[in-house]
Amino acid sequence: MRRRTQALVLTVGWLPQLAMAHTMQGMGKFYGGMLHPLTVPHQTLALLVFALLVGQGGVRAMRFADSAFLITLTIGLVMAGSELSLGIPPQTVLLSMATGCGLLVALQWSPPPWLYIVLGGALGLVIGADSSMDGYSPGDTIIALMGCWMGTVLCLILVAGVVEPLHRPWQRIAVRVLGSWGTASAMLVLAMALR
Amino acid sequence: MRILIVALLSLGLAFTANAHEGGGIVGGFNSGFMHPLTGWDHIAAMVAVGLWGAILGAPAIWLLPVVFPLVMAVGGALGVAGVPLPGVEIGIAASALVLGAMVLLAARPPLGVAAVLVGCFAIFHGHAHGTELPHAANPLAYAVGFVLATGLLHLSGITFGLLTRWPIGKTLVRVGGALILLAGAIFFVRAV
Repeated sequence: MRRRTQALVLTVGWLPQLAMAHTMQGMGKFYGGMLHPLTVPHQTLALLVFALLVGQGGVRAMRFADSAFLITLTIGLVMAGSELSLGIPPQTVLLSMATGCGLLVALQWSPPPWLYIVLGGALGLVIGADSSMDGYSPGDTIIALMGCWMGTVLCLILVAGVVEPLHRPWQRIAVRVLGSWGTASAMLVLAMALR
Repeated sequence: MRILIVALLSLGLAFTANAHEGGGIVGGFNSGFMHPLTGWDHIAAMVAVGLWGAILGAPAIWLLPVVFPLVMAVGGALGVAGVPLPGVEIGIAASALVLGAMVLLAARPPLGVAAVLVGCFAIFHGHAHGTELPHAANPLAYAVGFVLATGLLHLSGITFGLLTRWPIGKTLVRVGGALILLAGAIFFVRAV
């Protein structure tokens, strides 16, 4: 039994090397797209703070926010792929949303359902439209945008899912602290953008 | 023994990760994170905020870490906008002096008074960080970095302040306050 366990551990340890030996065409673009929301700071901040708000609001908030977010994210990504612009500065809009959502988290104030829909819808649309993939062929663009959709949705669901079951007082305080940090960071950069 | 080996290996991994420098986002975050940590006046004041929150107890112990970054951001926004704030360095030095005194004396004013006092000092600290923001490699990463570092300093102060549960801990915390007060006095004299 012990030898089998050792063999299993060694095999698992070598799996990353085996995985790297084989490449699949287009896989790089998909993973690149998945990581895209985490490599654009203003998207990351807005997404994480919104996820904190949704998680803090519970399962009910997730139903409203996630539905709107998924739909508008898809629309936004299609716009990005078609090289259509929303005509608004995405960084300013996303940082403004991060500021507002972070404040709601810090105050631990749960918005009404319609506000979750509005916030989720707006955030999804702006993030999607701000995720253009320059210099890719049409096929690679589609793959990258699919990856971007996956990565963005996973990020929202995972963070909200981690926050939702946190009910102990110190855990709720920690979430509020994270919200205030998000607001503070976004406010500073907004001040620079608006000066 | 196994845990020790794993811990040592983890430390080695951390150094490996540090082998690659990054400009842009990473550089901005690093410089923002280090900014509060490279000034002993910032460190002293932020730890004092955490200590005083622990002395004041609930709800101050968690209210200060929630409110402080927000008020600090207002000061930071003033700094970013180029609005001059006279005596920033004096204000920062005074924060260590006053907050150190509060901890030493285990002062427990009304929550509103404590919040206003800490808020005033937060403006000065934020202004000092904010003036550096436009020069950062990545302003948002810089902002996240220094907000995070400030919060972690608060947390260290709160953690130290939790020692007040024990009699010896109360003495240690007040000694900490005395040291911060002393440091604040030195900073204040230098700033003036």
